[in-house]
Amino acid sequence: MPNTAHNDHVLQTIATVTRAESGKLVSVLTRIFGPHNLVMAEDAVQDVLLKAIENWQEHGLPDNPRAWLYRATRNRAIDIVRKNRRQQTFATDINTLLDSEYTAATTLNDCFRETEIRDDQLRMMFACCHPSIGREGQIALILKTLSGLTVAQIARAFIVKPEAIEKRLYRARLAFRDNNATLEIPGGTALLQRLDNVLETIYLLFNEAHSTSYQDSLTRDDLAQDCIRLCSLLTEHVATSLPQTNALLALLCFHTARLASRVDKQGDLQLMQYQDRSLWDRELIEKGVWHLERAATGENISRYHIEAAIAYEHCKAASYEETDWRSILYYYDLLTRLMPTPVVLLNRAIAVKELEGPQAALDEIKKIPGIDFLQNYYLLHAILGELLSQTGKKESAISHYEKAMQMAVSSAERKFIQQKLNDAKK
Amino acid sequence: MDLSGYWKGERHNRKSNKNSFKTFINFKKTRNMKEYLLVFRSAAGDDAVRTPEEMSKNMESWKNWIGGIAQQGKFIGGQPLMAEGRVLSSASHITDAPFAEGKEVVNGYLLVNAANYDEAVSLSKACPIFEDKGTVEVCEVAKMDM
Repeated sequence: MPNTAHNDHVLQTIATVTRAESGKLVSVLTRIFGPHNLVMAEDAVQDVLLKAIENWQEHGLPDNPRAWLYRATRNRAIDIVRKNRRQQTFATDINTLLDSEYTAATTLNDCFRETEIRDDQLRMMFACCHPSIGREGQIALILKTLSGLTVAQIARAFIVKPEAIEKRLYRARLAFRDNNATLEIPGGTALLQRLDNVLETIYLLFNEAHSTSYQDSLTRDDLAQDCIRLCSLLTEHVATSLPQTNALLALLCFHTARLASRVDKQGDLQLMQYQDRSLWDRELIEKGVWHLERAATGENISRYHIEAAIAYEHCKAASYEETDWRSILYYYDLLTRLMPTPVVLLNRAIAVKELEGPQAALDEIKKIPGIDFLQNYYLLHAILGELLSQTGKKESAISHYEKAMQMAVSSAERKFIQQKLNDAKK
Repeated sequence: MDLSGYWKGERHNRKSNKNSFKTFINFKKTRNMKEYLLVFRSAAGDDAVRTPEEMSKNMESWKNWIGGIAQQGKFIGGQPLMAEGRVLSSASHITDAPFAEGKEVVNGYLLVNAANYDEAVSLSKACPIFEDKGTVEVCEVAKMDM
């Protein structure tokens, strides 16, 4: 009978290995069974993982849990192929080969090669980001299939009910099945278009993970790491390692490197000027720099390029006071030309404040076209409250802080604004 | 052969769907072709003397050969067979194999498309059965029209 400490270790290992490998296994099986059999692939991986838990708890961990999982999955795949090949078609390009015992096993073994597994994840990413699948569906599907999150985890991440995620996944799977004939990395002109879509989905997923609305900082770090992993896969493939891909990865690295200092020990939000910069992940910043250099080719500057450059300016500064706001303002001007959205202009105003003071920033904010669209955005009111209190307009400052209070989603945000409100009332 | 995937693939992404496109074109070419059965025979009990490495090398040869035929859209089906079997010389007279060591036994078959005997024979020339000193018998499938 295994003791509890041992059992905990087994469970922990299972959780870690499962999270790391299940996305790869689902990708490989979807490649083998064909996109129309996505559910079959997901179920098969689920079976294998359950079997692993049972087996490892009873017999202890194998020497190489990862290899164990791959062998079990491969065996499960050949069972499924043998049982279903008369009634069922699998991936079109290998279907005939899976039909014959002469070729089935070797064909399957080829699919489990390291390079194939890597490419299958890319193919899966493109399939999940098919334009026919809604944005929310794409994100849910990526998290479920490629990141190995459970429905409950995804629901917690997006602060919605599990049933809502189930519904999103259901619709997304239908579109996935109907619109992906084969699992592939698109070629030619289709590649650029589809890659844009994939990058945008990763970017939005990251923003979601990065947002302070996030209650659960553990999941947040995990999701950020997932985004980095997915984007890294794209930079490792010759067809998809384009400047914008590297720029996005740099951006993800710079933001993630600073995650640890965003909340203090009490779990309270920290403004960048008070963050402990020694907590920043230097290695990740280095990785970001490496990719930023690789992004600096070609003729097009994407939003990722500019946002990465801004994030890098923050990472580079030894202290808040040493931040190069002039460069940051320059980058915001570039970004404004590319996408003059109220949010970009609001962020630009913060750079203006650092250079020319709060009144100049307030004037800038007043000039933002469509600023009314942000009336329900808690950060707008938090910023206005700050600027107004710095220019001595106490009454208006308090009224904006109170608005921000009503709109903040997470308790950390509310606590943060309450603090500001108290200061303003003093 | 299932071609539904090909048509779906074409709608979205014809260029990058090279493999199934090629198979499809080749399949179309086979419409007026005949079917041929390739029967493989070799000495019974040969598998037993193989090392695992030789086994996997052998499987690899079969996969490459059949994979090549499949790529031309000419592979219809086929399976390897176990060395043992039963022989019925009448409804009541049944002999249990294993057959005597060294006796030639049928150990697999393939059904392929080919324009004529020449092509069916030329497809068979690269068959890995020759590595085992086995034989291939090529027969055209008879059409039993009335």
